[in-house]
This record gives sequence, structure tokens and C-alpha cells, in this order.
Amino acid sequence: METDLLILPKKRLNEWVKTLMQEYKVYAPMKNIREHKFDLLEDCNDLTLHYTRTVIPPKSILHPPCETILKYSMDIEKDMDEEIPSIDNPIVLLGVHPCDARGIYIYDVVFGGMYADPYYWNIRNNSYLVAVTCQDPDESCFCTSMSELGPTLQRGMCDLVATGGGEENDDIMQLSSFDEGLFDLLLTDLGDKFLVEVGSFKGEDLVKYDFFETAEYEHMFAKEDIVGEVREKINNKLPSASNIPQILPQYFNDLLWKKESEKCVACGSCTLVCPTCFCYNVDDVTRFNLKEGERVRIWDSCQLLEYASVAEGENFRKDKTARLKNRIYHKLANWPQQFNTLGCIGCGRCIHYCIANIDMTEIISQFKGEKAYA
Amino acid sequence: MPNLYIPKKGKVKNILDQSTSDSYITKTLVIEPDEEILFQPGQFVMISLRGFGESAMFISGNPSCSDIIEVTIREVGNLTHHLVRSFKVGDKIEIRGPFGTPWPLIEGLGRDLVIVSGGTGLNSLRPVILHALENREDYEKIKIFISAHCPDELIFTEEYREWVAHPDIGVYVTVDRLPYGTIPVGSSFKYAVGDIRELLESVSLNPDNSLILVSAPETMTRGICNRLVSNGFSQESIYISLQRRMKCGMGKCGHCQLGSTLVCKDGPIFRYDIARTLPDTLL
Repeated sequence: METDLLILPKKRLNEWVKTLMQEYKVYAPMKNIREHKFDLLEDCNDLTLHYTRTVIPPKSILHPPCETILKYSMDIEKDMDEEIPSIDNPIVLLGVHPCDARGIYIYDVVFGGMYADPYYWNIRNNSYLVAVTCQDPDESCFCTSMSELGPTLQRGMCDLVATGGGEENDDIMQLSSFDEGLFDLLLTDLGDKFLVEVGSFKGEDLVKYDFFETAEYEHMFAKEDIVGEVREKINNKLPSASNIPQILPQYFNDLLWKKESEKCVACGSCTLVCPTCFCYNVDDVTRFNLKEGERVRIWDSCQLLEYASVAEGENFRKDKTARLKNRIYHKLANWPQQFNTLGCIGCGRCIHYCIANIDMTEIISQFKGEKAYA
Repeated sequence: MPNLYIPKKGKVKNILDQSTSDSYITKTLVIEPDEEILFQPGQFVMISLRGFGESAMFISGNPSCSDIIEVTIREVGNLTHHLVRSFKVGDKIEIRGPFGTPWPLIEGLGRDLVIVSGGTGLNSLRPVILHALENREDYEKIKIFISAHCPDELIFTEEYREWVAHPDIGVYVTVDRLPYGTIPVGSSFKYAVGDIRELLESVSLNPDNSLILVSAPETMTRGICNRLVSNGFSQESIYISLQRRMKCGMGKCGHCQLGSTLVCKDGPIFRYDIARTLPDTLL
């Protein structure tokens, strides 16, 4: 393909985004008081492509925090209505960081498979993923530990650390077909211009405009230099992450868990901001007229007390320790057996937004290195 | 892509009282679904009630009657309260499913079946019993152990006599305590008072050639399995059922996750030695 490497001059970025906004619903990172948010772009001047992280990852667009799945009438003779919204304007997720793009790949695996989720795929199949090479990491980030390429992505390659279903295997997953890449477009800021890599056939829809120029291979080298600089800023907090699933199970009864969970306030923020957390609750909300209602699904969190409670008051994870362990063991020890990759992408959100300063990379490093607590 | 969240409709054909205990009302709903639901013993369905939500429930009916779905419900929460207290014959109900893995009856072929239940746990095992009675020649002896808090909490009491009438079937019933001043349901059937583990030991079982199916509250399952293992049964021959909160039934919502295992998809029937390795259980 000849058009897989393009250049977008920076002064034309706004024009391009404006054009996209006419045809698509563009979601993008923007400033929100002190932090950044990922939201519907209404004014293209709000667009911020240099940001460290949005509080809530773009998962909230593909798997909304609260979504109606069925509408019902209290008259049972009437059928329930399936609430799959028809999408007139496809969605463009613009400026997604590579870590979040990997999170979306993990979502694809979770919501795919035997019981594929129709609500997720309705939005996902109608969306474009425009990633941007991350140039603003902070001290919480550790994407270089959890993926091969860290702050950037590569065409047709899923670079998540694969663990081969729990066996010692450092291989990087190669996607079978070109169209299955992690992104449709990848932008990299080269100072006065953006290098645009087309990652899929779908992505070509977005670059059919005449704002683009052909790129040379030297631009690719310029990108590599930038990525190299960014990589140096990122802490490799969990070196050789692929062996964590083997190491972690032997520390299941370690006292460190108790010590760490004593700090936990069980607020559930870590799971709320996690790009790979997907748990949800299903609830019926009946209107006050008692004639109709909606079956909604709402994000849920395994850190909350009532999450594992069953009828008659039994709760299988009453203890905060059990709940903290459930989160970290699921991400780092059990995910490979279910989905073949690790469940963490190293975005650092759960560390950054934890009000109790629980750092899962610190816990793991203590296990991997000198054991301070017996 | 089929939308598995949309339930199928069914009509309640009959409601059978199972126990009259004041504290716990247990009833069996006999539901005639609009579409046939094929299931195997040990699978569960999501019973859906508009305005109340959904709940996972074991199918307690005969697996060879796919046009009838029976669920046996004890009143414990909002949805079950409504089903048990205010449902009438002819009311409509909605069902999704079936989900989950069934009891591994193929492993019991040519072996003794030992069925152990506690409380309403018998609801997941009744399909096994009905299936085994229809295919009697596939199995050797069948021993059914039933326990409950008190006699009026025993379920399916009317059927015990039918089951015993078949050759080589033993039904052994025990209760924890006798109620004062009430006449228990099914009093025509002789039952013991005491621990189900004592009852298991009082009956001669064949540890080398039996398939044991246990469905009881988790602490009780632990007690039963420990005793069976110490009496020479191998852990691989014991299967148990686990119950967890479920919101989707198909391994997406994450509520029933235990380690890398999802109770709804990989269970709810587990081999005992595998179940013991799972975190956050009482086993």
C-alpha cells in the first residue's frame, strides 16, 4: 500500500478534524479543570493531543458507564425492546494513547468469543481508532513493562506481553491479518507536522482528504528518535512481566496483602479508571408510573463490599484483602488463562488515582525482589 | 449476532408447594416456555421478572421434557419473594438460558451414583435422579441422601416414595432438628435426626466405583467432601455445585469470577479437587 505513511502539517490539523466532525462523531481528549477527559468534541480547538492520561479511559464510549440494554413494559404480553442504538454517524476515537488502544484490544477479546456482546460490538464496529504516540508520560506510567513498543504502536502487531496461557513464553503476539491491527490511524507529533500511519483498510476512510502529503522514510526515523526519548522517561516498573503469572500464585497467602489492604478504603476508583476492567451489574429501573421501565447495565467494581454477596447474606469476599487480591490476581495471574495476555496495560491510572497510594507495581516488585515480609 | 440478553417468554402452568416452613417458603414453578428449552441436569436458567431483575436458578425438572422447565425456589430475596408469594397459575414469566456445564453423568455410566443434597440443593440434583430413573440400566446402585434443617424444610417429599419403589435405590433423609408442635410434611417417610455425615457413614457405599454428586451450601459441601475423602473416596470422583451472584450467565459481567474460573461458564458444577484450588470459596 502506498498511502500507509502520510504527513499532516500541524496547521492543517484543525481543518482535518473539522472535516471529520462533519461526517463522524469525534471523541477526543480535552482539558477538564485540572485533568483531561475523553469526550465528544464540539469545538475542534478543545482538542488536546499532548496529555498524560484522561481520568476515564475511552472504554466509556464503547462500554458506557450506564447503558439501557432492554426496554420493557410492565404488561408482560408486550415484548421487551432491544435497545441497540442505530449509529448514523460512525464514531472516531481521536487521540487515543497506545496503552488505551491496547485496552480496547483487550475489551475486544473480553466482549468477543462465544457469547459476543451485541451492545459493545454495535459501537465498536462503527468506530475508528485514531491513536497518537504518547510523548507525555509521568512517574505512574509503566507501559514499557507491559508491552513491547510502549509509547507507540506498530501496524498489524499486537505487542502486549503474551504469556502463552500461563507457560513461560516471552513471545509477542502477532496478529494474523493486517486489518486486525490495534489502530486505524496512528499520529506522531514530529514538531511542525504529524506522521500519520494507516493501520487498517478502515483507516483509509479518514485520510481520503487532501490535507495529507506523502511521507518519506526519514520521517519514520524521526519518529523512532522521539519514541526512544519518550521510552527513557518511562519507568520499567515491572521488568519481565511475562513471568508474573508464574510468580504471583505462590504469594497468595503473603502478609503483604493484609498490610496493603489495610490502606484500602474500598472506593472502587482503581477499577473505575482501569481500561481493562469490564465488570457490570444489570438492574431494572422502573418508571414512577409503574407502566414501563428499562433494564440497564452499570459498571460494577469487585472492590465494593456487595460485589460477591449472594442470597441469605453470605459474602465470599467480605474482606478487603480478598478484594484487593481478586483485582490484582485477575489482572496479572488469571487473565492469561482466560484471554492469553496480561490484563494490565501499564497506563498507571490505578496508581495515580488511588487515594490510599496502593501501588500494584510496588507489591509485585516486593515479591519479585527481596521479600521484606515473611 | 444473537442478543442473549433478551429473555424468552413462558407461562406458569402449575405451582407446587414444597415446604410449609414459616421461615422459608419453597415452591416449584412449572413453566411452559413458548420455545423449547433443551437442557441437561445441572444447568441453570436466568429467571427474569420485569421490575425485579434477573436471578440464576437451577432447573429442577426432568431433562427429557424440554417443553417444561421447572424451577424450585426458596424465598430469600426480592425476586424470589415475589415469585413465591404473588405468582399465580397462568402468569407469564421470562427465561434466558440454559447456561452452565451439566453434571458429568457420562462418568457415572456403569458405576454407583451417590447423590448428596442439603436444603434446596436437591433442586439441581432432581434432574439427575429423574434421568437416572428413566435410564436405570446405565447405572448401578443409586443412593440419595437428603438433608434439611427441619422436616418441613425438606423438598420434593412426595416423590421419595416413588424413587424408592425402583429397584436398588435408597433414599436416606436426615434433619438437623425436630420442630416442636408441628406435624412435618412427608411424615410418612422415615427420617433420621442428625448430621448428614453420620448418615453417609451408616450406609455402605462403594468408594472404588461411585460417582458422588454433592449440592449443598458451601460449608456443608466442605464437611461432606472431607468426610467422604477420609472414608476412601477419591477427590476426582466427587462433583460439587457452586452458587454465586450472576448478572449475565455467559461469562461477561464478572460477578462469579473465582481466580480464572467463571462459575457461570466453567461451572456451576465442578470436580471437587478443581474446586478446592479456587480462591474465595469456603471449601
